[in-house]
Amino acid sequence: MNKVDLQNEIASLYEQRNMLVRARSEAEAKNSGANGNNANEVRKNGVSNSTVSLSERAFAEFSKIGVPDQRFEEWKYAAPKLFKAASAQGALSAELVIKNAMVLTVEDGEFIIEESSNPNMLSGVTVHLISDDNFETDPSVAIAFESILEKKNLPFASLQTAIEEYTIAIHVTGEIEVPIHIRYITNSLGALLISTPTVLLFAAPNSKVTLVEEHVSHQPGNTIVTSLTSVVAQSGSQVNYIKVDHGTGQKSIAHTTADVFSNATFNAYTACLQGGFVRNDLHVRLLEPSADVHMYGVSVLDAEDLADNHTVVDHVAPHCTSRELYKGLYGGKSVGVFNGKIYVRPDAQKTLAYQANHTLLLSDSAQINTKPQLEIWADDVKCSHGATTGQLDEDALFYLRSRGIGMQAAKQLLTNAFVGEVVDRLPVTEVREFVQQHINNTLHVTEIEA
Amino acid sequence: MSSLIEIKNLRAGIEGREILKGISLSVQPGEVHAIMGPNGSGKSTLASVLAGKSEYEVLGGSVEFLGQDLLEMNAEDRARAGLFLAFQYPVEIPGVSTANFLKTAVTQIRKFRNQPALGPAEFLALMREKMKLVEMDQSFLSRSLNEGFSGGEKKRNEIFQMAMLEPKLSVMDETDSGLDIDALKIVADGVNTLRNSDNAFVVITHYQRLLNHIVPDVVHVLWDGRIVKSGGKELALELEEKGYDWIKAESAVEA
Ligand SMILES: Nc1ncnc2c1ncn2[C@@H]1O[C@H](COP(=O)(O)OP(=O)(O)O)[C@@H](O)[C@H]1O
Ligand SMILES: [Mg+2]
Repeated sequence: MNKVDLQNEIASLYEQRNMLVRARSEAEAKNSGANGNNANEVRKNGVSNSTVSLSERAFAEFSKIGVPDQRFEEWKYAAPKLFKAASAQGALSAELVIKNAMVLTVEDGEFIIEESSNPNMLSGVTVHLISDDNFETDPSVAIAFESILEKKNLPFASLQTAIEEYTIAIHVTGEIEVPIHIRYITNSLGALLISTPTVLLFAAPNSKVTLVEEHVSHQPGNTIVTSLTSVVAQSGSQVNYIKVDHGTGQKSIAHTTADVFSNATFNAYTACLQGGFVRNDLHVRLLEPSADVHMYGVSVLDAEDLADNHTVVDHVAPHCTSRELYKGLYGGKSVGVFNGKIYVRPDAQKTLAYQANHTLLLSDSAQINTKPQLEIWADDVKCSHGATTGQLDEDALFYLRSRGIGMQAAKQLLTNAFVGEVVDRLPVTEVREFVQQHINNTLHVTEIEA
Repeated sequence: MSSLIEIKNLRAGIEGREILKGISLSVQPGEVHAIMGPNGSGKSTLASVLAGKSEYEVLGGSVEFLGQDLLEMNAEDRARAGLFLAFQYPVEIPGVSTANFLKTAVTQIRKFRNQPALGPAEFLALMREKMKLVEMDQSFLSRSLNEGFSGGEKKRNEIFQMAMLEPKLSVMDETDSGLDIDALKIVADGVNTLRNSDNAFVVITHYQRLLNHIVPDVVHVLWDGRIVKSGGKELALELEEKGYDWIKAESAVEA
């Protein structure tokens, strides 16, 4: 695959989508006569609208940057890897099974109803599949897309908005203990680009929910898979958001946004487990006082893997807190990227914002590129950031070995201790064990250079 | 009776600089040897070389431990064979609990020694018993290894580990430094309880006060990488009284 192929593919996907929407809308017009032609502001397709449609606006936004190359600062490290073949070993990845969870399965971009739980299984949660010419049925969807479109410099999020055909809208009104587990599975060997349905999660005031997004590919391949998730955490709600990438053979590009309102808590956990190529853009806005945000990340890479985490924490309202801790274990010739932006707007007095990115390099050829970017316009705030990169501590290793602990076990103890600060916090037991198991396997096969 | 450890003319250094300049020492089962000497004379270097710290380069000599060539073994195998170093500066290891660390160590050592693995309950009982020896609180088990421990707590933790691993030869590097009188007594009593006719101790110290409690059979003075004088326990008292200067003078005359 190269850039021209991909651009052609994107143009044809966009054209296909427009044809489909046009056909649908003509059929609709036939059925409902002249009334079906009313221009509707919230409609996405806009084929018969007087206003420019959301899809067209999104495609125009995408076209400003197009498929990014390394001259585009935000994609400096990821772009060169985008067209590189993924590592040939399509090692079968273990299955993540979460007991009692509500499962939604998306395979090669299609929602698979047979492999999903009954959408009504939980009281206090509704799940709707909304085709994008039907947004008027759910006004919050249109609002969410407007908010996504406001964001610039996210070419793949714009692209997905332009070409996707339907959206999964999840409304949470109760306190839900069992997780909602969305599985994005890639099997397609040939496709250049797959765009998954956008997921919109609305947590009503004082509700509680845990969303687990699992991106997995079981086949070796090179497909670019884009995904887009938007969370609205209304006042007093608590949202746990977990994103796990594992397996090889796909290039996963994900954009997640969260808008957090007063007294709401948003906890994000991002685990990149040898995904081959994973790019995450996680953008969080703290929009009302006393919003509380935690963002944890752990990346365990080997071979030629890349994990690129771009985060934006936008403090708009006063008296909010954000804490960010990303840890990386990089072996082989892997490349880790961490770019953390923190904005503290003029009104966001009494902000507490912390950011830390710590890396253990397990081989001489692995690399980490880390860049904190803090922009602070308020004066009464506490912000800090820190980054460290190192190898395993020699003195600690010797201490453990002097107690009869073998080299490999000693390295495992120290490495697990390093990532434990993040892994131990994962709020879903099965996910925590899954990540831990993956780390154990990786450390077992990786010859760590002490 | 065969020696537990037989060190012959051991020379070692770092970055091309010789620190140990020919040390010979032989320890029999059941014995306690004290090594005293001014700062910088090479006491900790000797302890580290014996324990297998690879940053030190062995330049010559031999060390036989229980009939094996110690210098050929890696650090973990030395520990498994029954060598224990109580560190002068125990390392803090955040994120690794004391219990988990000991569980890993004991499991690997027992496997090496062909002893059956301990079940969780047995292991916990063993830890409880050994902690009592140095009056350590159980809450330390779940805390990160040495992290945030006071100087005295770290030293007690070293002796606790010694008790858990049941070594044949324990080298204690300034275990008394940083201990108040009460703690010193607790640690010494713990060591005395562990003494038997099969094991032995090399006690490195600056001060004779520890040797009031752990009474040595032999006292050596290490000076500039050499053992310049050996004697009975009275030698420690003499050093306490007169300092090291008279030894310096003596060894200067000899040299
Ligand atoms: N890791 C090291 N790197 C460089 N010099 C060292 C190192 N360890 C010990 N030395 C030097 O070797 C000498 C002996 O040190 P040490 O064995 O710590 O003495 P002691 O324990 O008797 O006080 C000192 O001069 C010290 O500076
Ligand atoms: Mg010393």
